[in-house]
Amino acid sequence: MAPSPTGWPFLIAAGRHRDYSILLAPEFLVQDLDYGFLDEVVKPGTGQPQVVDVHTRAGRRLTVVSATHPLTPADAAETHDEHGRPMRLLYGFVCVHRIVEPDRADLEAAFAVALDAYRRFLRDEDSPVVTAGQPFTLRSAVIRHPEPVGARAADQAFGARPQWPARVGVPAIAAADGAFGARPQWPARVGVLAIVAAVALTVTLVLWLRPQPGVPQPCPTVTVGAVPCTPTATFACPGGGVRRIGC
Amino acid sequence: MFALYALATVVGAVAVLVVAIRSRRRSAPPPLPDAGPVPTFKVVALGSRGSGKTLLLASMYHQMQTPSGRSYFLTAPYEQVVLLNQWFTEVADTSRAWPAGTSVGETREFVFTVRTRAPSGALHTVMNIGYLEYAGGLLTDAQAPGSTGQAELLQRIDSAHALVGIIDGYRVRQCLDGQYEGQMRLQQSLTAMINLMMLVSCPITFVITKWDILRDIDVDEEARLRSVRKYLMSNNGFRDLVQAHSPHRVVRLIPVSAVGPDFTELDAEGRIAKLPDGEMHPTNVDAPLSAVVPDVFEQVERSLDKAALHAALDQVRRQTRLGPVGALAELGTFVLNAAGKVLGPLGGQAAGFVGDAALELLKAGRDRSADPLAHLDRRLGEVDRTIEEFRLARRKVLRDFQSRIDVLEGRLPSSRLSGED
Repeated sequence: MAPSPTGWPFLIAAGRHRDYSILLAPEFLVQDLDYGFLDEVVKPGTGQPQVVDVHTRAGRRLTVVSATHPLTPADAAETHDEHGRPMRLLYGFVCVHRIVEPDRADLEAAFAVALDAYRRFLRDEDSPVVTAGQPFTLRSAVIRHPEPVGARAADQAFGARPQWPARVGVPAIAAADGAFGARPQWPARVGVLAIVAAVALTVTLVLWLRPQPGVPQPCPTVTVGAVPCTPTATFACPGGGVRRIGC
Repeated sequence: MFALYALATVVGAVAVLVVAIRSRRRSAPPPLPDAGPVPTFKVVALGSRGSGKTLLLASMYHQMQTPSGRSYFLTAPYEQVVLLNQWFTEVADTSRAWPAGTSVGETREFVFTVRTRAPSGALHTVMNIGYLEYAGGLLTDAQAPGSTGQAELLQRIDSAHALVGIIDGYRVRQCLDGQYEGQMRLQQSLTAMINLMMLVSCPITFVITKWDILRDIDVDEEARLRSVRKYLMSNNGFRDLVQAHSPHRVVRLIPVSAVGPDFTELDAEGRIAKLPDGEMHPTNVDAPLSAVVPDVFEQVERSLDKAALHAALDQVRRQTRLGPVGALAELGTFVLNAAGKVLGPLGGQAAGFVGDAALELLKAGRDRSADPLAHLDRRLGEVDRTIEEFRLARRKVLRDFQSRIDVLEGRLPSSRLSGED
């Protein structure tokens, strides 16, 4: 029997005067300095958890489940930053397997750890540290063998139907691609197919256009002077061969 | 032998193709001006967290999405329009808090299309403006290992046609009130901007946001701007930057308010709070984008050889050999080649646009263009009325850009920075 799947909590948040940064990240990613992708793939949502499959810079394939929590007076003494803007926590968990449907309990577990980390951060915003998140057992249904799929909104999660959008599609390749939007990448197979098709077309054309064998015809005659020069042009003879004009 | 056949076949095919293309070029009418892509000018706004980048963007789009006395207006992809309107509505609603700050994951490029409606009613696309929206912390804070956002931001800055440096008016206010917090944050923001701006070779517009909360410095807006300018020029880095750049390119200082003077006040804790009955009357939010193309072309003119430019303009006037469209395209190609470093890649059908812009925006072009342009327009009318209409509409838009900036400079002379202060 396979062991229960595990998740690692993370948190991205801004403080009263400090901008958004990663305050909590999975321990194994912190150890390998491979957690920067979280900043770029986790976006504030409208209440529904978001599920995104990503490739990290080190080549790891992971699933990120995230949610957004507007700060409340129960969470912290101040809920707005120095510019009067509401503060919010972007939290969730990372899993090495694909998440079929995130379980509310898993996000609650991640939130509890994230809130602790955030309160520590608020005590000294000017010296932020990244806390290494410890694994916890997931209740979410997972697929252990990753498939090449994009992100999915957990539109049926928590028994609530989303208002809009019904499904959020973020291709895995775009998610891994960084902050400035998806750059379409052609699969290598398309390129190979195009090359093969071009070669086949060229060969067909050449064979089709090749003249039927017959009596060789004479090449054009060109008088070449005795002045030293470099070859300047070639002619293909109708019956085969090449005549070079110049010297 | 087989290889020779193949070679001969390829050579023959290329020859046929060349002949076909050449004959098509000779016989085909000029392409419809609105059919293809248009040039894109890339703008990056540099500003620290909370400086008002997002609000400025939302307010700017809200004001420029209709002509409102201009010959042009902006459009954007619909999902971006929805987002911009959502932000603007959130700002305008006095019962709600300000919108939350932008996170790194929300970085995105907005693409605004400048459109104009010709007298016939036809809608023409003049150009695009790419505008990067990102989290201010990308500019000032160390990034997490493995994050690529900061590197990509630097790349965008490097390839921008114009930079907008956002100076937080709230921090200026704090500084003028003698608050240490304001001085520290303003210095941090200026240091980050100046460090990047020293290396660029494009026009720079500094924008002082939240101008409304500085209104009590002086009743007269020019006097107010002069005070703030004097304060900023007392900063060594800022002054050095202006002195280094202003002889070679345009450096502006534009005061803007995304909400206007009747919408906010400083509360007891010194925070900016919405007035319960506040009304939004944004001021100058259109100026930074309006300045982009005129400022780029002012720099182009400074970089061009005067004699060569005059010769190219004379060629347009005579337009004997190529016809009017060809002459303008040739002028555009000349400017693109001669000032390629300033203009950078514009994409689209750049030569025609640059030709028109050279006639409208370069001083040498304006000085020589009154009569010859009228003549040129008559000749263009003979070629194709659609092209004529499009070109006239495009030139009107370019004139409006220039006019907007001229009016601003006339009203606020301190908005043009130079190292002489």
